[in-house]
Amino acid sequence: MTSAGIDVHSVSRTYKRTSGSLFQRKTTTVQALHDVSFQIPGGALIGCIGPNGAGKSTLVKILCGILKPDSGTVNVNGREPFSQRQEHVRHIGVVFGQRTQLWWDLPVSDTFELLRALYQVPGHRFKARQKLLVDRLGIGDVLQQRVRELSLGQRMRCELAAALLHEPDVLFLDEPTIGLDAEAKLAVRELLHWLQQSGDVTTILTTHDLQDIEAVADRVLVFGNGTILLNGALGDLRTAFGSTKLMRLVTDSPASHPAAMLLKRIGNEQTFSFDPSIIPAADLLAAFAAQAVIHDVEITDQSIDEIVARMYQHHRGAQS
Amino acid sequence: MKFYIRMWWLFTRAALRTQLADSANAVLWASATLLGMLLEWATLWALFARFGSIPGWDFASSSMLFGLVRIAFGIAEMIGRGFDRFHHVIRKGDFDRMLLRPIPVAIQLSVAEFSRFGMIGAGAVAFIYGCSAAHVSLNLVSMVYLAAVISGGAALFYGLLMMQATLCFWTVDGIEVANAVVYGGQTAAQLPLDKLSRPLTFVFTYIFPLAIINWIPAKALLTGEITGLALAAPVIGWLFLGLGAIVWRMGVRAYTSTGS
Amino acid sequence: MRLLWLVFQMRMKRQLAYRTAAYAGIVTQVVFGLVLVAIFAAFYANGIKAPMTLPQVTTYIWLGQAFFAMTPYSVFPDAELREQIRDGSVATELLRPVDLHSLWMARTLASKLAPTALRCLPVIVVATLFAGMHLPPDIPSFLAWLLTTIGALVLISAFIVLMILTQFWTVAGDGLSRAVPGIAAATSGQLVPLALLPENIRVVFEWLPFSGMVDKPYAFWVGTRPVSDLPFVLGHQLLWTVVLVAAGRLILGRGLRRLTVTGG
Repeated sequence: MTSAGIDVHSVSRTYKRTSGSLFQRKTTTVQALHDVSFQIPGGALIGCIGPNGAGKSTLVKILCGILKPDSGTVNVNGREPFSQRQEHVRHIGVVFGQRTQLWWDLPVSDTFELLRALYQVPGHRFKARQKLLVDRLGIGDVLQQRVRELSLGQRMRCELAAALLHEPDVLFLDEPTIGLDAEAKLAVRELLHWLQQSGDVTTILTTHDLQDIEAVADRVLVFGNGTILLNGALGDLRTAFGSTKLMRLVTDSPASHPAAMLLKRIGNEQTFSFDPSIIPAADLLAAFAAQAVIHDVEITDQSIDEIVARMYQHHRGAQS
Repeated sequence: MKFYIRMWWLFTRAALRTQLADSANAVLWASATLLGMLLEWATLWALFARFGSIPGWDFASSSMLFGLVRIAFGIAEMIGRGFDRFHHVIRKGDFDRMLLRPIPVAIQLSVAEFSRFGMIGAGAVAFIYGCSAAHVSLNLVSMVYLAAVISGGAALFYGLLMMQATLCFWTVDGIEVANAVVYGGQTAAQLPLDKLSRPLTFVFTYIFPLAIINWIPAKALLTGEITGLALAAPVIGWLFLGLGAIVWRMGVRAYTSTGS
Repeated sequence: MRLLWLVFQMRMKRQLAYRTAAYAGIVTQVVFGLVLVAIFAAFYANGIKAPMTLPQVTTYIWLGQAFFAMTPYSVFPDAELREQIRDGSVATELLRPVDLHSLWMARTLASKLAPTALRCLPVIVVATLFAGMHLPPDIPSFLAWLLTTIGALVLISAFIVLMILTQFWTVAGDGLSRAVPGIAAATSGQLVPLALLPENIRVVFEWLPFSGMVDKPYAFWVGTRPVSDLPFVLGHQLLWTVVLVAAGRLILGRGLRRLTVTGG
């Protein structure tokens, strides 16, 4: 296995939106990706997050070879995706959470057979691989069922197996856990974890579910407005944007402090956010204790979700 | 190449299995299509019954035209239905999915559909009737020629379907018109196009070469003189397919570099 | 009712945006009109007496081209709806507090009316000025044509909604949507004016629903049908509309029940 991984250098991509008819059309240009560069070592599992329209899916399309960048270079395990599309797609696996690559009216096993022929996987190899994936994903019972009769969770497991049958060296997962129940989500994450351990496949996971990323990703790329806002470990995200903490107080009367921002108040319960580097928690608590009788107190980190939401906000603020 | 043919066959077999899952229904509706076609043929008969033949054309020879066009179009539709309904493929995002498979998209779109047998059947009935009523003597040469003409006609319509599909990369706005051309073309092609004014004849011979697959070869079969344009007709049909394929490739290329 | 009107307007607006289709459609229809007129001229050159004169047939052909967008076999308007029914996502439509059949009728009416409105006038003008089309013989004939054209539009919409609804049964619906255009084209008068067909065939076709979509209204404009036939024609259209709507509602009810039982 080459350990080349993925190398994206200075990639930009614009869309032309046309409206109106052939004869009188207006064209507006949308910058989907702007000068994006990053590297992913072979075998790593990278999470991509970002609000809708931030450029994630454009990037995935470019890496899959179905979209050509306006400028910049892309190298995926030694291949240039766009110019060698047909060769490239032979070595990649793709799962779109919203769409199926299985044949809707056929039993799952027939779909796998078709894929075997399509990717020209040798028979014995295919058998071993299929058995491995079927066991891992626990889909032995549904192989003879038609795809249309599967539940979403069963279908997603089959999709994953289908995308991995031909032993791709890169795997793209677009929202693989969307709409899944807790058990199915867990199964998907377990498989991803296993892939990551085996180190054969470089995986790119785009999602809105930060728990997916917390559970399995080595690193995270945060997208906003066509650029990468952050490229690093999840912990970096906390240090970069998550320095504030939350303090929840139950008091007999309202209290306040200039360094603490009131987030919400329900009856006697107030929640503040504060920055410990400006005012340490103990000092803040002392200040509140001087104003009111404190019945209960709780200090927590901000959740990743909140941090990311703040990051998007922050970014948008910097733009306007 | 062998691999592509095999893949095509595997896809087709899978599709046919689904379509034939409810075979009673499939046969029923293929017969309904056949009935519709025969009704159309009957209106042609009614016209000749009322007005008698027009110079050079009678019901028998018009039946040959009718049959030739249906057979050719039926074959094109049977293996080119994916192009005909390409606007659905684009709209549902299935096209991206197809690009991610390691064989050309055109092969994936050429998956055969069973239900056009009704149309081909009706065409064959009309054509065979026409030949026998017009006392066309079918010898080896004319049989080979006929096969070539049908393949050329199917190629022509297939090319047309490819062009229609290519249009969908830019706009679904024109799909209805393309449809009108394809289906209206069929209706027009069952009529003796040599009765038209000069500019129209020119259009249907050289620009949108419907005449190439209908009255020119039909005339040649009737007179037994397969020469000139009649001899070239099948080739022109195939050239039209080539043109369609080039346009299609350009469309795919433009789609991946412009996005949508 | 207000809601239906709103849906109708939205649909109209959307369809009217398809200008390119309209221009290209006009050109296409003119070309095919010329072809058909030339062929009929060749038939009439034989000098046989027929129930319609050549100018009448010519006018009839041009009407067929001008109003082609309205016919049920031009193009099925609601592709999205068909797909929704096929993949079962139509179940979400049940959440809307409206009568589904009426909603779809409104949508279909609009998507048939809009392209027709854009295209009919240019074709009529061009054909009248350059290609031998005639105007209606008198005002009453024109009004009869107008009324029955409205009737035809409603009838066509009811028919199309019914066709779309057959998609609940995948194979059957598919077969039907392919088998019907041929039958409709032949029996509606689109291929050959019904008056030119042999008497016994004509009588049968007259009773089928499709003649009410094409031949009957055209005949008023052309002048081959006396205005006194108006009540009969409207009655024919109304009767078939009622039948098709009733059938549509029946299928819709059964289709939805099937969907909710099997769980999409």
